Amino acid sequence: MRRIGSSRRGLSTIVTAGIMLSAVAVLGSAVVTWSSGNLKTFETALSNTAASNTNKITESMVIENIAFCSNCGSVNSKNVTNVTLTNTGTVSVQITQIQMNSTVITYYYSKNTSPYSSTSCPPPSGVSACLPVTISPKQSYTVSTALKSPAKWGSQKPDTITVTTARGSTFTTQAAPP
Amino acid sequence: MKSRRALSTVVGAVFAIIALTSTVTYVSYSMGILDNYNQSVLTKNQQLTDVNKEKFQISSVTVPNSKLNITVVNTGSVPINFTKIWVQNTTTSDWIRSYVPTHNFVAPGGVLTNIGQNSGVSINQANSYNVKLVTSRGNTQAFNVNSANVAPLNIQLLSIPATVPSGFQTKLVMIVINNGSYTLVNVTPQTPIEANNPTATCSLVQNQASPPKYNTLPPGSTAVFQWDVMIRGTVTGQTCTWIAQLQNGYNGNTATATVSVTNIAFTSTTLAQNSGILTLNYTTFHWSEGGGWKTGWAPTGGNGVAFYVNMTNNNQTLGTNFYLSKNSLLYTSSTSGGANSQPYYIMNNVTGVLGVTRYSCNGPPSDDYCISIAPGGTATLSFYATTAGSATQTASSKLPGAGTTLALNLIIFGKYAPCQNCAGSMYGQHLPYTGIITQ
Repeated sequence: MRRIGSSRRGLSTIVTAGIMLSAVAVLGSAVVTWSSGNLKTFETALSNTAASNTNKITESMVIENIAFCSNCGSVNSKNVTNVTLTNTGTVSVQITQIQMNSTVITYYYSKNTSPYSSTSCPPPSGVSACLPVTISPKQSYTVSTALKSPAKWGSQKPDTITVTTARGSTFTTQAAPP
Repeated sequence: MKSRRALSTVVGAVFAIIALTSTVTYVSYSMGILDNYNQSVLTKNQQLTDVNKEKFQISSVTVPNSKLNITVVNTGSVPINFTKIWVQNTTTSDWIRSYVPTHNFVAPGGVLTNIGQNSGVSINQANSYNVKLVTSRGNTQAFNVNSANVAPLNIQLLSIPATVPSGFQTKLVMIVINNGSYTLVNVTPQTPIEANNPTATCSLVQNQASPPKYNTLPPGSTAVFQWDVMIRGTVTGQTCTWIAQLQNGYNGNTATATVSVTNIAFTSTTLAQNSGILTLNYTTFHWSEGGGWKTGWAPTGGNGVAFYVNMTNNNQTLGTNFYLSKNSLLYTSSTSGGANSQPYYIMNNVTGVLGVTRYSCNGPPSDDYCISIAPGGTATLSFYATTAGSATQTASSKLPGAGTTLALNLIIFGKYAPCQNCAGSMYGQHLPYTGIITQ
């Protein structure tokens, strides 16, 4: 007896389904991988940006004192300024640059025990390693900046001192030399 | 129907879950980051708010034992912790020290004293110092010690009144305004000095100013010192000029004031109009009937009697004394009337037991104008003799018996002159004196 309407396997359907599944799996995996990578990148960027900005906000420093040294280096040279910085924040601060009246300081006198006395001022040390320096929280640091001779700080007029940190924060004050 | 597994749905669901999970994770992570950032902003904002809330005033600065003694009042609403003190000697170059104070904490509204007492910095009173206090939040406040020499101050010297009669006092008022930006401490004036070539004679009643000093003088504040000055002169318009400055002050930062004399005229034509030039100190009135000097108004009566009283010459004309004539006398008159007035003439001296020295002196003129009273001076005048220049008292000059009320009057004759024999302004004055009742 002959079977009427015998059943046939839908190979084409299976094949098609297999192809579709493979395509979806491959494409989906690619998309997921791509998205995951992007998200990781975004997360990292966001994390870095947030951390940077948070630290920048947390960064707090004061220019505690400005002392103009008339006879440091040489008598009546009037080019050395002792800038005392204090970290009043909760994170360490790296000082990268000091400017005096918009002139970037590139010469320093190294800080010894009595850098303010005319008799104990150390001789000019040229370009020194005074900066950059990292100041821990609640700590102070004195930088003896020097204008390149024969430049002098002007008497009886305000000088603007600007301190820049590695995070890009700037702190400014004014002081009048004697 | 044949059932078929919906594989595509499963696969799609898996991918959807992965995508959603990733998204949620990313959003959560971002929110966490933002929350941290927000916390940092809030913390920073709180710190800045505290910095602004931190306020203090330097209420006094003294230098006992060559050490700073700073008193600070916390006028803010947050506690203050002083972390450092900078001391710069501005008199010399390049002298600056810093140290950490041992007394360093003060609560809101509190007072912190003895800041600087334990420092190793000795303060030389001859120098000026710039002192800066630094708090843990980075706030600073600076002031100067003995620093009037840093920059010229607004100093004025006034004489109030500027014109006074000879022998009177005026006030020198020194006004110092701190027109700088630092709080000055220990603001002390020098004793004013007289400029060269004065035409009047001036002298300070006291050298020390009142008040002697101001412990602190904040920017914009004013210090006022004053001295009393006596001026003497013979001619209206004579002057003396005073120069004042601060101790350890800015070189040349001085102020001057001129005091002028305006004299009261005592000419012969105006003397009669100027009563009260001679005045009596009634509390010095004494009488004696030979038993010693006594006060009060109740002599026994019936005895010889002497009187004395102190008299002051209020005329302040420099170089002109008042010379008493021998005709100066004290006389009594009875309140019941009648011709029973008795004179008692001026004597050189009378003792309590009625030992007398007549009014006498070398001339010229002999035995006249013997006693003189300098401007503003006081003399004790004794009265006893019945006649001018004698040493005796007659029986008629005895006090009347008990029960008589007598009024005593003083008539002073004399002259204002530079010397006993010099011509001067003749002067006479009647002074109602006192009364006695014989007992």
